[in-house]
Amino acid sequence: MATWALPGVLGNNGFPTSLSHHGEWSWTCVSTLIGGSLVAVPTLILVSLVVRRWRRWAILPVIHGLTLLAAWGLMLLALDAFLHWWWD
Amino acid sequence: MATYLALQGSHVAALVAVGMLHGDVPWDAGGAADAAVGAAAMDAVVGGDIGDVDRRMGARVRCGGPSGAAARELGGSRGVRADVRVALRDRLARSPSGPLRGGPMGPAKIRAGGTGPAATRLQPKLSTGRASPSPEPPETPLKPVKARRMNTLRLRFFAAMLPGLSMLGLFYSLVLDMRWRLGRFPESSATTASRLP
Repeated sequence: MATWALPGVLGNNGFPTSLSHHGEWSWTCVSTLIGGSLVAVPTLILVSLVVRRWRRWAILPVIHGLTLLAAWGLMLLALDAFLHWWWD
Repeated sequence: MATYLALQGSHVAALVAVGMLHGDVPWDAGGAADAAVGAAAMDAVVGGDIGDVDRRMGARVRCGGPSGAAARELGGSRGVRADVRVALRDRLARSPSGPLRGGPMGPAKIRAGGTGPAATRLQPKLSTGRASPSPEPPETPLKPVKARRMNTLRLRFFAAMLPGLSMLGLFYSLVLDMRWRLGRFPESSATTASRLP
């Protein structure tokens, strides 16, 4: 125990209120967007392809999904220390 | 928070812009005539004198989509696409029988003829009917209309990309915010646990 020191900041402890809110909103937005898109994007693509009149719009959910995937990949490039906290 | 609000604000603004443009650009106008005539169709729909073209030329509407719906509301009927009717309208404006009245947006800004089958079918009517085609060639270049349509396409694609871009911006704004306010990143519980002896 003597070699182990308590970390200065753990979880959200010690965060300023605004930073804490920023983190909570970010997590809420990201999880909602990804979770919602997992359901909505395939559904919209299918419906757009089935309904002949909406077929021209099918490209938009595809673009949305591809952009989310790309953004997800870019998010994984963040600093390891931050990602550890983010996923924690 | 400011970054978040800015991102969400730009998101909403872009969606509103796309929604506004959606009513302006006739996506269904490419079949019977080219895009320039299609955009002129929307000008005429906004101008509100398509019904007049119908009455004078006996032309009728079968245009679907927003422009067709608007044309039907203005007294159009089924038969010819609105974009073709605008070509007729424009020719009528220069015919000896006198110009048509302009709506709030004025007369159609683009003098272009349809090139599709419906326009070809109507061509004899123009030469033998109540109005004669003008010998003047189209004067307005098509480039601005095509550019406008491309801009709308880009806007829609951008609107589709915006949620993902917002998410990315929000995420990295949090990284910067944390770094700026704390000067370091907090430890995860796993990291802390790994340091336990």
